[in-house]
Amino acid sequence: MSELSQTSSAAMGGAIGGFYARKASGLVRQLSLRDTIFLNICFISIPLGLLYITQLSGLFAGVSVGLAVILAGIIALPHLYVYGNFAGAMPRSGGDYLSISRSIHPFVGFVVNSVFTVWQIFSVAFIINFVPLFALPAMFQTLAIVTGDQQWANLATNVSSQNGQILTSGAMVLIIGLLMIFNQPLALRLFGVLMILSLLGVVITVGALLFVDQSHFAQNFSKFGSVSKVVSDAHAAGEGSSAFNLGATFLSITILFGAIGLGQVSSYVAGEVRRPGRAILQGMLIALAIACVGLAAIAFLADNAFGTDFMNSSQFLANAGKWPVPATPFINLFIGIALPNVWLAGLLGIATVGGIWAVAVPGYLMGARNMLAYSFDRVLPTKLSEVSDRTHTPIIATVIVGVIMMGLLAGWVYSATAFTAVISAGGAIVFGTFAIVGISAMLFPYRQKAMFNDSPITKRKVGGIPVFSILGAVDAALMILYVILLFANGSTTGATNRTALIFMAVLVAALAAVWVIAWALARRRGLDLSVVQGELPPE
Amino acid sequence: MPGRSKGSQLRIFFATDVHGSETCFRKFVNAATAYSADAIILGGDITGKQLVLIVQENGGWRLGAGRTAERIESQDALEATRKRLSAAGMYPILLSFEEEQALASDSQALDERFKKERLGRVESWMILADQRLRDLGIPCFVSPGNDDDKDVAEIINNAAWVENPEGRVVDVGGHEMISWGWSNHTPWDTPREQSESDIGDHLTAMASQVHDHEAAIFNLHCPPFRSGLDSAPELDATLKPVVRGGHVDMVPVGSTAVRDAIQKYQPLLGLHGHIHECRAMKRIGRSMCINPGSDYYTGALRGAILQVSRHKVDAWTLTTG
Repeated sequence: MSELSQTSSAAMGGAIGGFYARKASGLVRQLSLRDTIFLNICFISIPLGLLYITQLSGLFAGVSVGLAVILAGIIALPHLYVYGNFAGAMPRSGGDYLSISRSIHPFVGFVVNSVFTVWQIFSVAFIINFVPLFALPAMFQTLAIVTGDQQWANLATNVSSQNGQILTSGAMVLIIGLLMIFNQPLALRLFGVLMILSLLGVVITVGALLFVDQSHFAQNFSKFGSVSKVVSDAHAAGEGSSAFNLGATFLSITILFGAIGLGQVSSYVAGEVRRPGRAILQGMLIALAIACVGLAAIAFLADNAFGTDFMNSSQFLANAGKWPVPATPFINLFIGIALPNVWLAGLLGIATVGGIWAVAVPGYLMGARNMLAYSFDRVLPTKLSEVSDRTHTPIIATVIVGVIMMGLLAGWVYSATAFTAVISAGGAIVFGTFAIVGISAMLFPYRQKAMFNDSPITKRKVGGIPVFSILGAVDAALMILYVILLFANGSTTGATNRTALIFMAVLVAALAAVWVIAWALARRRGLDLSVVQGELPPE
Repeated sequence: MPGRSKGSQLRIFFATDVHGSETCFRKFVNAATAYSADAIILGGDITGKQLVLIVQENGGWRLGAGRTAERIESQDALEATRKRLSAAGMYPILLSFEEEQALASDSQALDERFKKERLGRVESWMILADQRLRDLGIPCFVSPGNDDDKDVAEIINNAAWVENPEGRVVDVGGHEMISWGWSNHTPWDTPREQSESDIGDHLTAMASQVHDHEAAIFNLHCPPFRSGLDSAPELDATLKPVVRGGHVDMVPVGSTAVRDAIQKYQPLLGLHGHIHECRAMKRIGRSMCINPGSDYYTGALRGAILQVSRHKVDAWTLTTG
């Protein structure tokens, strides 16, 4: 039986020969290395990275986005190492919920995991609205330029209006939600197709940028004004120097990490991954490498194709409300202006929409599955774990995720300033919770000696301290550094918005209260929630 | 865990599908005190699936063969490897090169050796349970599943403390429990499979002896069909999972006879296993059906704590030990 060999080899770290398997029914792990790469790339979020290529330059004068992408990738390594190895040691679905529960306490595990889950739902609502805000307007505006048909330009304006955003993004959230309930296999297949489209878009973008001629772009841009005027207007409006600034580049990582560094999602489905000891960390690292190479290449090529000054100034002017093009600065828009071609504009637009839309699938999956896990652990009401007889899906949990997404989407559309402030403050809180994951990695070899010794995690020590603990400490230190930098530069990062911070503090307190209430209720019934997730003594 | 259950309450710990994992069985026995359980029940499929040959070679040992062979140099490393394999439900045996060759060329001898190892581990577990649980007075029920050899039942029947509840009505703290470990037909032709009608006949025969169905426990290895406790990958003719669009298609594979019995008799509890990846709870009418799932190969014991009074489940939770 092939799956028996896979199971054994997973447990054995690769050995297959010399094993004799009998006929027996058994577990078949579904997710392949390719699936884990897709899932991680989706959470890394290439569309978000594409947006940051233009947006960061408007926020951090002198930033090299290409270099920042590479640095963010390097800094993400200890974070992914910790997640990947935890998943290898405990190849069960749950990610940090499980690892922190085991290393520190189930209460801390729940709070960290639920905060990240809620923030992911926030992020899905945030990212999915890029379709009407950036992807579609860029495509329609390009089509208007190519065809000369003003209808396309009107469409670009209409789709990015508040009603256009709600209708477009709301429909995408709704369609995926309905598919997740009524035809989950189709939703998962659609997710695969969308991700392939997204990766194809990266390749096409890189290819297109290689053909862009800066002078030709300047000539085509003259329909909206002049490139040199964009630069001079931005400087006149207060833009800083575009000369390379390492400090600004490093600081921009605090925001860029939200797109590059979150490729740990395969650890949340570790129980479904084939050969988890290897595939989970491999999937994270490959996804990180693909995203970093693709985004860094696009960032460097875009600087070369359109000019660093123009790239920085366009976003700065857009932030100041003085951008002359009736579509937000976006890499696809610039390519469309430089290479006006219906097919190219269509392909890039569809690929970007696909990549953005794809994020809704793991958003639903993660939200609904975590709710099921909390429910089975009796932290949330049993009702949430009910699976429909007809659809075999957790309808209530999925609907709740969808409703939260819709609500957040409405907040994003109709109160964009408040929503983005919450996203920024939430980012700081999430980095803080990631620091707890690093701390739990530090403690793991000491608090769970047997599990650590039996795990595939390296047992090497430096100065008598396990390498895993050291990398956990490095991860925790980096995450704490991010939090400090986000708050220290609050005017740029938006992390110090008082109302947003209060909102996030209330959210964290509410989630903590959920566990405490559940614990108290269970205790009254004679069950101790802090025990049921703890490891039983094997001896 | 706060004290034992009170008054007429009964706290049960249920786990299933440990598939030979030494660690999981030890945790199962220790769960009695860790979770303050009044009774512990292990569903079917207690024996493992793989025999591992460790061959003495050049002053050390060789695990596996071919390009992936792993060299073991020291006695400590050997013990650690054996412990690791046993924890994951495998059966490591030490052999000389000649013994390895002899076994490799004689499939019947290999089968017999493997069976001996499986049954030997079950016997050792029965002794362990006796040592750990008798003085505590905690009843322990272990029933065989579809993957277990027919001889497993006999070993449990002869155990000093552990009871084999299969095929009869047993008392669990005042609740009548019926148990059946045979499954409907699987693609693997495992040792204990039956047609749905045969399963139905056995369940009817047992259930008809139950006096109070509302308080009864149905400990049936196979989960009810289309209950959400029974989704497994669809397999093709070569037993490979059917993958469409990069994802494995899941289909319900539970027993219709089990579902019919649950629907007809509406017991208090349905305790199920068999499908490791379907860790879930489902209500069928008034019956609470649970499949705690299994992660035996990681050494983690998946289980369920169920606190029940006469006709009601007062509290429950799934556990990961």
